[in-house]
Amino acid sequence: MIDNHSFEMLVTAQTDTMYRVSMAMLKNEHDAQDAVHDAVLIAYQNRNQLKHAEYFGTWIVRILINVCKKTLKQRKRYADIGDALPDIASRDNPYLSVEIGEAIDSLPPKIRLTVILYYVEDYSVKEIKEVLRIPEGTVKSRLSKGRELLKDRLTES
Amino acid sequence: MKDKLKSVMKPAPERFHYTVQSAITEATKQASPAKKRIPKGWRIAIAVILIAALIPSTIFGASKLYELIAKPVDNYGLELNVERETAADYPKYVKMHVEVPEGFAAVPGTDQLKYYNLSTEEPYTDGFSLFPMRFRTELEQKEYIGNVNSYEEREMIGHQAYEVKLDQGWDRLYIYYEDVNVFLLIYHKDVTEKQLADFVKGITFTEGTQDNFTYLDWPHDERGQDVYTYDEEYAEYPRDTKITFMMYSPETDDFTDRCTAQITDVQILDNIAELDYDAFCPAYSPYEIADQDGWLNPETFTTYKEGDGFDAEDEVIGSETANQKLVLADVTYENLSDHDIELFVSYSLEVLEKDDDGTFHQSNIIDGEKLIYSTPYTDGETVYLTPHGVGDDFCIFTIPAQSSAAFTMGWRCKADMIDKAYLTNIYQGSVTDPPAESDSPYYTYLFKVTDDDR
Repeated sequence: MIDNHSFEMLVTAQTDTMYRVSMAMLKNEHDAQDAVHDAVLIAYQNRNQLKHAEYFGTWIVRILINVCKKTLKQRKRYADIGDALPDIASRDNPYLSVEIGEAIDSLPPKIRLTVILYYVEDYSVKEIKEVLRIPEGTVKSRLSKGRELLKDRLTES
Repeated sequence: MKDKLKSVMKPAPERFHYTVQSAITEATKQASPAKKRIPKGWRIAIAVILIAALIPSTIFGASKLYELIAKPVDNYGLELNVERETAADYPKYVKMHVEVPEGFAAVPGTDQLKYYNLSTEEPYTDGFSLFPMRFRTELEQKEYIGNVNSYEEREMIGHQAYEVKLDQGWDRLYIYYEDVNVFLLIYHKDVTEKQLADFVKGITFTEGTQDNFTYLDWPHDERGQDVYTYDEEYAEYPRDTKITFMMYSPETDDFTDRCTAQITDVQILDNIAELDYDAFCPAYSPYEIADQDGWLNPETFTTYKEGDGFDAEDEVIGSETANQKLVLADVTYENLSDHDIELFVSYSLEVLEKDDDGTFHQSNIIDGEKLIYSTPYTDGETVYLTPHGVGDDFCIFTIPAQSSAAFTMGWRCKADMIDKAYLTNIYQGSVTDPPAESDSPYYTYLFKVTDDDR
């Protein structure tokens, strides 16, 4: 089982990835911090479930994505009872270039996350399949669509 | 495209690192779960050592290189330790200071990394944006800059620099501060050469502390693909096989919630007129994927060579327009635990080739090395779902204790590939029955698509 020190090392090495993934999904740094916090606690509690330690990165990112989905679900619930929460906090974004950042942000959520995992985090198609639990064809389809949309939106701007 | 997108991504801000460190501290103060037997301890140990060698040493600074040493302990666990090795002589932590030139101001909330021209009154539209990086070796740094298109070498206030000018967007200037081993990327837009020079003159680095330092990004990703070997297994089961899987339970803090899932019916449709149009997922309006009489629209399937989406467009190699069908599956989930559970719908559709030896592989044309891809024969996206769950692009259902819930889901597929289509259940918790035939972490259950009404 991963000891505390190693756990700290492994989690810390994933900080940037967790930041970008949670921001891609939640678009709100406060929620993203909460999600990462919860994901780290869940990962620690379940670290003995990780059968293959070399997959720590994809494993904790998968946990984080599930936490983010639950956050989105809660947002939806609040919205359903008329207590609308902003979906996007415009000031919070993980991009240095406004132009490209806006293009990425304008992608549909599923495509945005897939594009970021593939192009920014260097995940392979198969790793994304594992993290998002979608078929390989779906990963490729989202990447293809993402490229197409990015090109269109950057050409428009 | 990777370089382009990576270059526009911020590293996590310091407050985010603080969040992560706080969570780690909170987590590691909890009682440890019981040790579990790890049957292949050495194999994992070797893998962990490999990973450890590849972990960016961001948090530790570059003055020390760390190495994980792992050894199995009584076949029940792994003991991991960290050993240090002295490396180059530069500060582990550095602090960047920026003297803001006249006429510019820092953009609030950007950790003193962005500066805009006061005359424009529009933060983010022009000015400077800083992205400090550090490389482990000189070679990595050379490789990085070698991958940057069309740069010109120059010297800036006694430092080696590389300049990239673009016709539109933000120009880039890379400056290497050798004494602190910081490679600073400065994005700049609509500034004069003098303003740029003045801005650079005002940037200095001093030694930081653990509590007061500037975060440095480590852009060189050293995860070798060989470490992430992917041992995927597909196994076909009779279509009505009921699978039993375990889910994480917050009550027991373990994977103890038991559920089942079973495909009870499959239909293949050309026309969706009889379906509930409100059950189509928002991204797939029935009015867009079908004509006014409900007949599914043909789809163009393209084979192309991938461009980067910025400088090079995708090059179309081949294209065909083909009819599509909708595969509808009825699935029943049963919650066998004694409390409510929330689950993600996990079925999807794939088109696979079955080899003579019974193994499966993807049907799509794909050549990663030559960057050639084809439109997938099915994009695997759920287009139809009833009853609907919560969320526009994902579905989480709550199923009461000891209760069942039935769902109908639909996916589109190229019509002439239906005979190669399989419903898949990907990693739905931990499937215990039927047991996986291998210990691959990537084990996919396949159920052949056959039309009950055909």
